[in-house]
Amino acid sequence: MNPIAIFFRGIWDTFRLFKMWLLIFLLIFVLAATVAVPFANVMQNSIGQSLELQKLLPEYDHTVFSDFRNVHGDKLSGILGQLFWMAPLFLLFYVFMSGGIVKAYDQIGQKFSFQEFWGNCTRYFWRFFRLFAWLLLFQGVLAGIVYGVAFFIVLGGSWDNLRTETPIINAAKIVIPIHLILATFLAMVGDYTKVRLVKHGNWLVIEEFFKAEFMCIRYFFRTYFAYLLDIVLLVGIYVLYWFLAGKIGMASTSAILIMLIIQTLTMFFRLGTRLFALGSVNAMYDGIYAKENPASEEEAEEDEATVVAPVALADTDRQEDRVEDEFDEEDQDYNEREHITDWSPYTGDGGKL
Amino acid sequence: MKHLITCILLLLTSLAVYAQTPAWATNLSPRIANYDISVKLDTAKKTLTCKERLNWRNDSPDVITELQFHLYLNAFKNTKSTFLRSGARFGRLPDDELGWGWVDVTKIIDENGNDLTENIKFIHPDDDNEDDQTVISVTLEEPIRPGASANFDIDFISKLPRIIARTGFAGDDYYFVVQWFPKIGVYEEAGERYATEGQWNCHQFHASTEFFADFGVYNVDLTVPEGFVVGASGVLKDEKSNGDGTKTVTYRAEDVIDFAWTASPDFTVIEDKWNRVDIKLMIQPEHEHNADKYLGSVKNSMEYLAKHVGDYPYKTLTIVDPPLYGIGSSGMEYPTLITGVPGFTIHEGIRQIETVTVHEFVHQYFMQLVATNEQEEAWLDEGFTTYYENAIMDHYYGEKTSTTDVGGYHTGDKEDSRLRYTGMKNPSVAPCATPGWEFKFGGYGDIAYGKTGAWLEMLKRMVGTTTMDNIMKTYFERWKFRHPCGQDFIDVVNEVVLREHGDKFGDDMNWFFDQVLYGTEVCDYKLASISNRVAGEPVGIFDKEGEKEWAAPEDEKETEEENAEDEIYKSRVVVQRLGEMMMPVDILVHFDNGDEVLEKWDGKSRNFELRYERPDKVTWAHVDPEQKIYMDLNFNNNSITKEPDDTPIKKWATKVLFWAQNVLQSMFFFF
Ligand SMILES: [Zn+2]
Repeated sequence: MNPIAIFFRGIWDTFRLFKMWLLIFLLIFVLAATVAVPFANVMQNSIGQSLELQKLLPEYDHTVFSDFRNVHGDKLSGILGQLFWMAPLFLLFYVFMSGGIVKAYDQIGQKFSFQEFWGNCTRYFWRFFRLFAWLLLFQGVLAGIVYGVAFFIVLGGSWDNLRTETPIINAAKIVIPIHLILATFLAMVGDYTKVRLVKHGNWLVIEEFFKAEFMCIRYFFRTYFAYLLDIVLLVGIYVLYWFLAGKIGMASTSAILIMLIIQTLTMFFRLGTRLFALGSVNAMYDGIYAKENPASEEEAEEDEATVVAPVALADTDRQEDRVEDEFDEEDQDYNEREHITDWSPYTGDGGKL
Repeated sequence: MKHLITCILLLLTSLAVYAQTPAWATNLSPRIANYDISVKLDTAKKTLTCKERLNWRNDSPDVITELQFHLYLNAFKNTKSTFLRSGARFGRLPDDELGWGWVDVTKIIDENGNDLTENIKFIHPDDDNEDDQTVISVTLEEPIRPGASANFDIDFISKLPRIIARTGFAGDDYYFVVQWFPKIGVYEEAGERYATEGQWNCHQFHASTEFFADFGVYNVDLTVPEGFVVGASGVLKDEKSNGDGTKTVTYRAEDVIDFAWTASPDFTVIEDKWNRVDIKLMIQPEHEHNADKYLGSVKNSMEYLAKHVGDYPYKTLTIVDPPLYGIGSSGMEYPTLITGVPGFTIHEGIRQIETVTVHEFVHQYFMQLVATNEQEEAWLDEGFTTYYENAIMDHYYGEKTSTTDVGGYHTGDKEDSRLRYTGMKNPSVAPCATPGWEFKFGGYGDIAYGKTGAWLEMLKRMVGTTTMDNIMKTYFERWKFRHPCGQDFIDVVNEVVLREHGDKFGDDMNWFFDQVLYGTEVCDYKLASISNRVAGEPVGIFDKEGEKEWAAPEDEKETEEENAEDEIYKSRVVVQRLGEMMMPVDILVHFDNGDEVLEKWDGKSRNFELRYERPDKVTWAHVDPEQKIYMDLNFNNNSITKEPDDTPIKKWATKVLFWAQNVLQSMFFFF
């Protein structure tokens, strides 16, 4: 439960799921390529034979690029438009994949199979989609509250009171970090909810969300610190990228090739940080669960397949008559024990959401 | 001997200058419209209660029986004004009575005591809007003879609007007061500018037009609350406390066409100097970090214009940095007083403050000193100002980095201005020479600023920098403190170009102005194709000594094949004119042995071909390689190379690949 150990555990587990990591990365790469390749084709077919093209090699040239855009803007905006609709669709697909991803961490140590992965994606999609909708709503409400409160505090609720930009700049220096902290906390709660949904087989998304939230609040420092380490790592990756990009430039074929490799690695590890976070949330959750439920810890130790998480526990007396996903039987044990934990204010009777 | 010649030359030069010096040589300007105004600012009612003594000289050969005045503030009296009817939006309309503006002339008396108040009537010379009250006519009881001066005492109240079109108040205590007093129009005698007979030039206030006025001297007493910091056109002469919580500051502005002032308790004043000009920066305390941007850019402008155009003749320059809540007053030019843009500097490489400051300062030359009619010929002030703004920005801040230089993304001011025109959806929407209020289908800014800037740059690139400087210096010296029109500038161009280039460009440059100024044609030259073929022996049936002899064809080889040692190539380069505009262009042809040939083309026909028969193939060709034809809508189609290198495409495709992945990965950052 040491957050640093958990952080490394998340990384380690992700490397164990390298195939899954690579799959998601390749998917993103291919989608991005469907933008980049047509862009290159438009450039080739329009200004490929022009001497002006060479001005774009050492650096950006506003005249060359703007003349290109003025004449071939329709094609360019078509390509950008493609990215515009592809991005939200991809987000949906990511939501779809989340079930498979979280389940893979839950089953860490077992052999990863794509068949099982896609099965889990399908199995958890509806719950994860609802969670996504809730998170979207909560993030919107959070932003509305944070900036709305700031608007009232700084400007008394009216733009007419705006005399100088100074209060806005000063407020932004405080409000934006606060928002980012709360938004990442919310995202983290979302990740814990995903883990809970998978481990407990519950259909009640909002119930699991609040359970996850109370857990995150109770164990705030270790959960948030471990999560933050992944964000720091992400920032570090970009700092390194900008440093290397500044050093290497892109003014020759070899430099372009080197930058392509660096950019690809940057993107691969950026995705990695997202997965590391899910991995560490999974590991942290298991740790907390084991602490809260000493009985399960013993069982966990008996279970060779998992290090911490007791995944494949026997199906014990099933009391709830709620309709469960047929695949969720194995998780019932987790679900039952949950109800006795002292940090949960809920006992599972919430309405299905 | 050398000294003697120099002395004689100097003497001749000064005699020539003396001969050209106008009658008003003792003053800088003809001083036709002179105002003494006393103003009391009521900060609660947002009104100015004023007494104005106008001294006006009839500089024409006509007997004047009527005066015309601008009452600009009436544009903001109600939505029936021509200004507000145009639909142009300057922010939202006021939702309270205090927000509207107007000006009432309560009394006008001539120097003989005749009360002319009853003779005031609203007129609308530009349209049939009976409700527009921005111009009045006052019939005189006693006509003003040619050459005579007359005095008029005018009482008026100006109600300031909440800032619109630069003028008014913002918040409780920021005042930017412009277009605020009854201002006499310009009487043009027959032959002056476009006048065919004597006439008042006094246009209504339109949303997309500015001003036109005669030179004069302003003595203005401004009574404002004691704690206010005041800035105004001209020179501060006096400041005294009235003992009632107010103070009166007196300004005198000589040889100017307008008078603007500002007052607010919040200004911090920073003083600086360039040569003999006192520069006063009135800046908001929260913007003090921008002081160097303002002062540096204005001093750069002074230096550049002194070198390339002429001297700034005034003793002062005031730069006003508006507060954010007074942003409606930003980016504007008045005699010896300009406004910048309020802003927090996010990045040193974003040079909006410099660009605006340079622009507004250049207006001191083009529309203030060379006092063109901004309403009828916006290109003469906005276009010329854009041209020098571009030149100054690019000179001091880098040709490709002058407006923006942030993390590898950079833009230059000149290219920005050109792109403002070339990026228009319809660059033919209206000619440059269209009066401001007649741009009814849009394009005023892009044409008056962007297109004019582009064709002035094109003119410079065609005739050369030295000739262009001489054109501008001649135009400035000849027309400063006067009212030239477009034709006057064209006349100077024709004169200087003919003198310096002979008939290289024809008998005159009218063909140029017919296209760029009065026409709506666009310019687009294209390098259409390059081909190289091996010149084979003639083939077919030939009569030889009474016999028919067949010469069999060799394989005619495409150029891409190996370059045989002794091959002769037939090369063909085709250039096309896609636009209607015709400009003389150069075509640079490059051969694979490194030879280059610069060809000339008058640019008139639709297609033009160059043929070569030589042992070298054409590798590339470039129409207008120096980009002299700066109005060309597309420089990218000006060249073709037979040896293209797609490395830049690889680079940008790689970047797009990276950006697109970033966009996609950003989607799930919080989910
Ligand atoms: Zn301007």
